[in-house]
Amino acid sequence: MSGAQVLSVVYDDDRPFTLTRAVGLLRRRNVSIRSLALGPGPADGSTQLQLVVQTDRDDAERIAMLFQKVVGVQAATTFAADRGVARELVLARLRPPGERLGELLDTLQLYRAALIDESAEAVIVELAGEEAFVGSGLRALESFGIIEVARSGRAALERQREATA
Amino acid sequence: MAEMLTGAQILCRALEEQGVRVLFGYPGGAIMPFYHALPEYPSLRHILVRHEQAAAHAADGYARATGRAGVCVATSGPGATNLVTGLATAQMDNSPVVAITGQVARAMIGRDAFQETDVVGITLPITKHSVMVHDVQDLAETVREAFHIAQEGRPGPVLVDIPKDVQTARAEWRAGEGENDSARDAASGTRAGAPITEQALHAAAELLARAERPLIMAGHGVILADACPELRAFAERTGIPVITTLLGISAFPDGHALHLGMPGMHGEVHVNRAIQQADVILGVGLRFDDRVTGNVGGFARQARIIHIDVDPTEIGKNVPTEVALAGDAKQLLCALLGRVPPRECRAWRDEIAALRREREEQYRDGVAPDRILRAIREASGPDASIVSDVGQHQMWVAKLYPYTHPNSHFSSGGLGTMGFAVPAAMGVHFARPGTPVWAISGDGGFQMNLQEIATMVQEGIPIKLAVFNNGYLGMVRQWQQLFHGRRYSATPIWSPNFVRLAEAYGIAGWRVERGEEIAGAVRAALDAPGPALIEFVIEQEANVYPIVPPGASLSESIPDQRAALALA
Ligand SMILES: Cc1ncc(C[n+]2csc(CCOP(=O)(O)OP(=O)(O)O)c2C)c(N)n1
Repeated sequence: MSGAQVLSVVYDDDRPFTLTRAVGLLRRRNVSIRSLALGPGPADGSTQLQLVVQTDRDDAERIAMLFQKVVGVQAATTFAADRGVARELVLARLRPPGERLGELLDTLQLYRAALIDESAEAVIVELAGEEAFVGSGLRALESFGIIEVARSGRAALERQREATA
Repeated sequence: MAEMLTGAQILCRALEEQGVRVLFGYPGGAIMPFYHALPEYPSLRHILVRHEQAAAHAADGYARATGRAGVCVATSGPGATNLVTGLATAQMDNSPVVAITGQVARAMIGRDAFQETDVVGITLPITKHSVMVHDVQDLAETVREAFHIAQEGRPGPVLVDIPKDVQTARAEWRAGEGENDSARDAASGTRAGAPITEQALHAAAELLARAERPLIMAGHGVILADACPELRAFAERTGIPVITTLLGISAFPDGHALHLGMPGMHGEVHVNRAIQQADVILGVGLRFDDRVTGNVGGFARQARIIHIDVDPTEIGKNVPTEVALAGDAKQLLCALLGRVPPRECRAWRDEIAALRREREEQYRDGVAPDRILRAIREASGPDASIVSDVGQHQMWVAKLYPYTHPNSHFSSGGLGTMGFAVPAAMGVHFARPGTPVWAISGDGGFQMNLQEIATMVQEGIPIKLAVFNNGYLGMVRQWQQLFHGRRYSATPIWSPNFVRLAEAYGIAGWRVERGEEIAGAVRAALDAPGPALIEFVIEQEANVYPIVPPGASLSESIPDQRAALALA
């Protein structure tokens, strides 16, 4: 049952080492991190970390339990990635499209993407969706000349909530 | 009016508040404000060790003997890094140690200042928790939380790193609000595992009641949970034989009709066979570590396992578990006791007894380990504390000494830290002043921390030191003999004249070369008023048997020298 597993960890903000500990736990177990996203947690003063890792269910559940033992962790849950929905936000800086502007806008529309910044040197577009979807979106944009890409890491929710303790 | 105190004074007050009586430490630049304040708090007795590693082991020994946190103190940089082996040792054996380290002033942190080391970072994976105090306002509560985390649930070491200017800054001292532990639990994120269901208890009781070949395997957790009486009551009611792991030794009295002995790599053959034949195993407070299970794929293949552990992440980690009981061993054994019918397990016990052949006289006459240990026991009485180091003698001390008092045996099990015995024994002494404490080491491990004799002399710590001198790093030599074609690479070890070494430190010393001298030397060492040392010149190539070759299953145990040499 090896596959992509989502781990969510909510911890107190004032425990700066919690993130280090969480990542250290994965390092020690030689689990590779495929995606990492960090943002404000559900309550004031908390942070939520979401990780997508490559391992089996049992291991993911054990890791979630180990996270719970880390001082400062309020909650740690896990589910198999294929039981959830996941989205990633991608920002891409492209060369100015010039006379291909219409073509670019069509491509963006196809991927429900948007042009969010324009300057003489470059444009910035935003694109969101599943891993495969943003991947093909980026490929479609390649011909416009991608200068730089920033990705948010995946945010994921289980379709039907059945998270482990 | 609230008192304004320096951070250093607040630290002392917070230690007093925690009931700390003794600290093991070593001063240096970044911890000087603390040492400046210390004489104002005479209830805090400071023991100046000769190496910070010893401070950590001594705090660990104190913690193991009392069940309460032991405290060690070091300066930043090399002082802090010298604690590392001791903290890792405490972590592996779940010992509540609180380590206080000085740190360079806040403004200097991150600049590679003199004696700056990221000790919080270094100790992250080898402590239960480690934290730097950034604000003197937080200091008292951080210390309270450190003690709480160290002692709560599954115990472990906690490091508190305090920058020098936090020690000199002033803040109001406010006494702790007594029991604030549930708030602290919430704040620190620690919490009990899932509640035990009636269903799980019922399932465990059913399994045990219907088992034909049940066993109890008891680990350190039984001692940590103070559950020795409950374990005994449970075993006596159910007639189930009890196996004790290395750190479970003394959780169940040696010589009791239901006690089988130690399992695993150096476990007795009948113990390992019983495991391999068991149909139900109740594991209490152990982690089924590889020294216990041998090749885990071949471990107890017929057994359905019920696992009691305070740490839910231990359950199912190393062996598949049928019934998980995450929680306090004392309470759970009580709960189970009321649910199992009284039994005798006669047939099964007879079967094991048949497997248990009389221990062959493995050791020659003369200065043999069993004779030494018997003499120590006879002269020291049942309430003596025995602290072993790591190696062959450790296995002899585990297997051949009769332990009748709970928590009377101490050893570095998980990390297997040579050099543990001598300093850890100092900690045990402060937990049990007035009772005999023996540190039993090999000639190798003794030389790793023998500098602590000076500490014992300076502070009047009457440890009795026994050195089993075989002229080798014995356990490694044994592996070389059995598994490396007798190539004794880097294992012969020269030692100084230990009697003259003792003399140099101003303590009594004996060298025992003949069997008939053993008892007299042991008696004399005990009668000596302070620390004393006995060097036992044992057979150079004596081996520990049985031995399960590394990586093999418990069924492949080599029972004795004859079998070993036939294989080698
Ligand atoms: C700090 C440390 N270094 C190395 C080892 C590996 N080791 C395990 S047992 C042993 C030999 C111990 O020799 P000695 O102290 O003379 O005891 P003996 O085995 O002879 O009883 C060694 C080197 C260890 N456990 N700890």
